[in-house]
Amino acid sequence: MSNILATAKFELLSLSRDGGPRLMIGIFLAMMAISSLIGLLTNLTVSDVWQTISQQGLTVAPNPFQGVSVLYYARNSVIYIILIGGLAAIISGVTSGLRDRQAHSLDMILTRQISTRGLLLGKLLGVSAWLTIALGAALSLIGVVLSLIAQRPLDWSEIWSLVALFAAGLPLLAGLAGIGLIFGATAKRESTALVSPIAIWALITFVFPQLGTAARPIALLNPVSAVATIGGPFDLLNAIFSPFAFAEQFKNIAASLLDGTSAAATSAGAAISLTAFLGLVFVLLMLIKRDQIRGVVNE
Amino acid sequence: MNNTITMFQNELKDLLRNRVTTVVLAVFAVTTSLSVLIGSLDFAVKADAFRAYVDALVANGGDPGAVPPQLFPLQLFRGGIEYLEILGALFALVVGYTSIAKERHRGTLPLVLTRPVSGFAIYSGKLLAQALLWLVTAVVTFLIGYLISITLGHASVSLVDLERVGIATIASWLYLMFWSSFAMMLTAILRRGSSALVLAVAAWLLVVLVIPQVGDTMDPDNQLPGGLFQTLQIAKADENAVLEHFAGYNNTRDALEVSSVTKHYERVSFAFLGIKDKYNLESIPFVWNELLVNSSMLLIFTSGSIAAGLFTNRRKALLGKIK
Repeated sequence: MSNILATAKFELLSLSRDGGPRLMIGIFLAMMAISSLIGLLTNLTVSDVWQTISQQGLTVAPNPFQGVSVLYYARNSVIYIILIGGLAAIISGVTSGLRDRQAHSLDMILTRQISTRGLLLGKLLGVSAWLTIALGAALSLIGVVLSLIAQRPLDWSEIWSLVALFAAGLPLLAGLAGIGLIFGATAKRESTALVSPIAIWALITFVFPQLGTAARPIALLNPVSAVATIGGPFDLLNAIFSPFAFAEQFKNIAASLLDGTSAAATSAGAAISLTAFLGLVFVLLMLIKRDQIRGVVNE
Repeated sequence: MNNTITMFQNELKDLLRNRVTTVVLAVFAVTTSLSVLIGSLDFAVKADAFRAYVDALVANGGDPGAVPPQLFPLQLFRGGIEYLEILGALFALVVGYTSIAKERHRGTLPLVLTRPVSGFAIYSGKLLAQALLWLVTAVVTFLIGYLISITLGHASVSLVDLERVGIATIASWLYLMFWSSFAMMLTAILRRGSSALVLAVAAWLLVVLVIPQVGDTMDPDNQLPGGLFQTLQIAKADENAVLEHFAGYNNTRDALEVSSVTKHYERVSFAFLGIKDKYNLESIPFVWNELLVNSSMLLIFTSGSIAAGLFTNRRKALLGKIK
């Protein structure tokens, strides 16, 4: 156990020193900080658009954004967790898997009292701790920006919703980091180690949701969920693929927490799906054999 | 010139032997086929719903005056183009990066450079081989999409449609070339291979995903499912008139979007394929005229990236030690 924790600590230290993961986390935090401001700017503009339409007598509908919760402005952050956070997680996982292999220190490490499973578990714990720190920093940033927008401190229910949102992001990011770690630890080429998990991420984020809902791939980057096609083969396709569309599952949880547009049952199902994703990745990681991680890394 | 051809032949052999090439072609064949297939199914479901609505209307003595939905087969390419935008750019980065990184890793560059071979010949030979790969990728992607749209979408084969598909293929090729040469440039500049790859991925993330996403998010019409103006039941003419009051905001949003090469590629291909309603059924010269700026910008971005690659892939840079 102490060896696993030592590996995790070393991993955390290494990631904090490595340029690649630091760059990605830097971009992640910067975009998180400005995401709420983009939301505010857009919301103000839409309200102005509505006011112009109303003044011209073109609509009698109420302003769709009147009285929205301050948490509404955090909905862009959901997309950045999926996009930037997801890629930062993958790069951190790949870096962690490749590091000892590229430094030719793996054989030396494996002469110590640590099993392959223990080593990989320690690495996953270290990367997860790194991602938890990043998510915690992002949560703090969003909290401060939202307080500035609302011109008051956030109340406890709002803070709880934000904490729950970022906590729900952790299994998604840890799962993606685990996929990165699997490829980083076993791939023969550095480029394969990086591209393969990104291709899986693209499959989860774009292809599976498109198969189930007929939504356009790019439309899935909009915080507003696309209107799904109902009927024909889409009901069946959606039932088959939606549990694996982990990014969309996370968006469902976010919709429930930030603006209450998703039912509690949907969120519970989404939480189960994300936990199962992390569990599956963990099992795959534990199936890796010693010989598989000792291969030489090419370009 | 002979050296360039030799490098081209060598790179082409490497690409043909590399599993990544097969993966790239397979990924685009599958994702394009799926997109066109899903688009066709989506249309069939909506057409059935429309027929059921008309039948119910007639049964209740109503007037079935509504126009039935019409399938424009080239619009089925939308998903395929978006996959090229996202995954195509990523694969192009990796292929561009690998072409230089593999030589560094194997230590073959110093050996090659003992011969009378210039950095220019190495770069241009490799780039030509990649140009061929991306041309084949773009042609295969659009050909498969077109064949499926003919068989499933019952599209008729017309010369104009083929021209439109041809223009979209060239735009896709230019876009992929931009990313390939961009990665080659970064790999030449940065001594540490993994830094070049991570930096390239970070650039891809910003240019392909984040900037267009911010632009889309700032679009007032994207704020409600189904669209703000449609929800408020505002006619198109009124929508345009209202948006004229927000020219400053829209210009800022547009400026952000056009800083991304991805957006230029998207606008050009969407316009010529009629995916953007405004250009659907318009003549090719009309679309050329309207999209002159975006087409030029796509060309400028790609030429600039290739030129930067030429400038950076010099003997000294290529001989630099790996960290």
